[in-house]
Amino acid sequence: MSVEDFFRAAGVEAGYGALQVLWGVELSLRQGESVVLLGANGAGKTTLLRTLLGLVPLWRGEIRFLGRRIETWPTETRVRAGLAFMTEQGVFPNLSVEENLAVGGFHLGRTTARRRIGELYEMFADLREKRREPAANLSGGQRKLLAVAKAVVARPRLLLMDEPSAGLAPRLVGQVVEILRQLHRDGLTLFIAEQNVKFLELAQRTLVLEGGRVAFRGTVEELRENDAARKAYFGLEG
Amino acid sequence: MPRVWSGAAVLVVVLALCLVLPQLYANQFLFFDLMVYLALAQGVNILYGFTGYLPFGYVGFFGTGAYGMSLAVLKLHLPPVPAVLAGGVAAVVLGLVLAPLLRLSGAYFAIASLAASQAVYYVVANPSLTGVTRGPYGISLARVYHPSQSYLVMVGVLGLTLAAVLYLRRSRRGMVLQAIRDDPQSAAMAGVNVVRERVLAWLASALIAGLVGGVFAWQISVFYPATVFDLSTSIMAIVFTLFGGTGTLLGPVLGVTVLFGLYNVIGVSEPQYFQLIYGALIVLLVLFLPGGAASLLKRRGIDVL
Repeated sequence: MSVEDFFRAAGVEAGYGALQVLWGVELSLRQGESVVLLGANGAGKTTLLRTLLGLVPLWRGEIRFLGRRIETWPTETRVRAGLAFMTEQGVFPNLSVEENLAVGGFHLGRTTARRRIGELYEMFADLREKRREPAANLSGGQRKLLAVAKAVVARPRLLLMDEPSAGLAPRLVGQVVEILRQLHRDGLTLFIAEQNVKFLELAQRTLVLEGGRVAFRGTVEELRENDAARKAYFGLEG
Repeated sequence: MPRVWSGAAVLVVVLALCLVLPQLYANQFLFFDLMVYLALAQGVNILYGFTGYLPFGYVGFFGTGAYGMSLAVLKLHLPPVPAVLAGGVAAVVLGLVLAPLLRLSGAYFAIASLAASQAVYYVVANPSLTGVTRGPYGISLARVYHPSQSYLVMVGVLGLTLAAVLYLRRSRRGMVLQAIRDDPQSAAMAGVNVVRERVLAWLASALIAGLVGGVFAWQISVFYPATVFDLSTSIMAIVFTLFGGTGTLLGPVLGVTVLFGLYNVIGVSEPQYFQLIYGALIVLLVLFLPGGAASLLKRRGIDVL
């Protein structure tokens, strides 16, 4: 398997009912890199992530992960193969913090899951303190950290993230970025849909979606030099 | 782990009571029926409490178990205990056939399962199948009738049922089922095989009803299709479970004890009032106490087993 074969989506078209959202999106990720997906609301960022995960049906195109075609696989099989998805809705409010993590590690087997959860508590000290609390009692920031921790319990190879900064105070955004930086250093490949510029610190490459098509690809520096992209995505962000 | 011991203690106490009470109060049939509902309520609990599917047609598995057991005795000449197991297997087979119903949700599933149980009833009661199921003329198992043995086997089936619920209350699998109930998509995103876990719970629940139906057939030994496919069996099991509290071990035990007790105090002499009370109870429970009596304790921070 060459590095280019780590993750590749080609000609991705998808949508809801009669409404087409994605128009031939091409995406390729190398193992260990970190890519930020930008785009205005409605550009198709969430739809792209959900399509890659099989939560939105793919109309046309193909998706390869670790050299295998995965577009016909159900979501849980893709996840077991090493694809993880972090979203705030992914936290179960009625389960405790530890139970949430255990659901994330269910397919690992009891002992492996327990050891892995212990490791994660080293990285997420806040969660260890609240391990017996129902997730519903967590603050917004803690819930976000729980969503990240739950997504990485099973040691995924690639983590897809949908707006990890949404609803977070600026101080907490920094905390989430720090955690992600650490996970990335440990070898996790990141693909993050974000509007918050703070996350560009993590980006080795960026991708801009516009109207369901890739409008720009390049490094953060190239993005900053690109007038059209800068206006569209930094003008309002400050 | 004290929590496991408390569960084992509940199991032992319930089973011991079932064994001892008939010696103190000589109405074995009453206690047999009590055990039937204790087990059926837990069967409903496994499905509804842990996956959120409300099986209004649950009695279909019970009736299938009763007929599976009876035909194993009459056609295959099996002894009663293996025949009861055959009843359980018959219900599991029906469960496999009906597994696609799990694609439906909420009220659609409830109604479809109701319709399915009626379909099974009409097949079994069909006069043109008299050669196979004895159709509308019913079953007689007089040859193997043995009420004290069937009572003991029922205690065993109840023990198995309570142990299954205890397992779900305390295991990772039970926790995952609750996660699926709350949010199936997020469970799939965590790598959980949602369909497989749901089908397993569905089949476990079918197996319980089938075994209970099989022992019930043995106990009464003479019955008609309408006896074992009686929809009020489903309704009672569901009301008992909802009243006590779903997703717990003690809730359904409490629900059956209180409501079945009440039924035997006033329901037998004045059944029409009891129907009225049941109707009102379903409405009130769904509106004001969806978590059942157990949720009153949970709100006070007491973890109900």
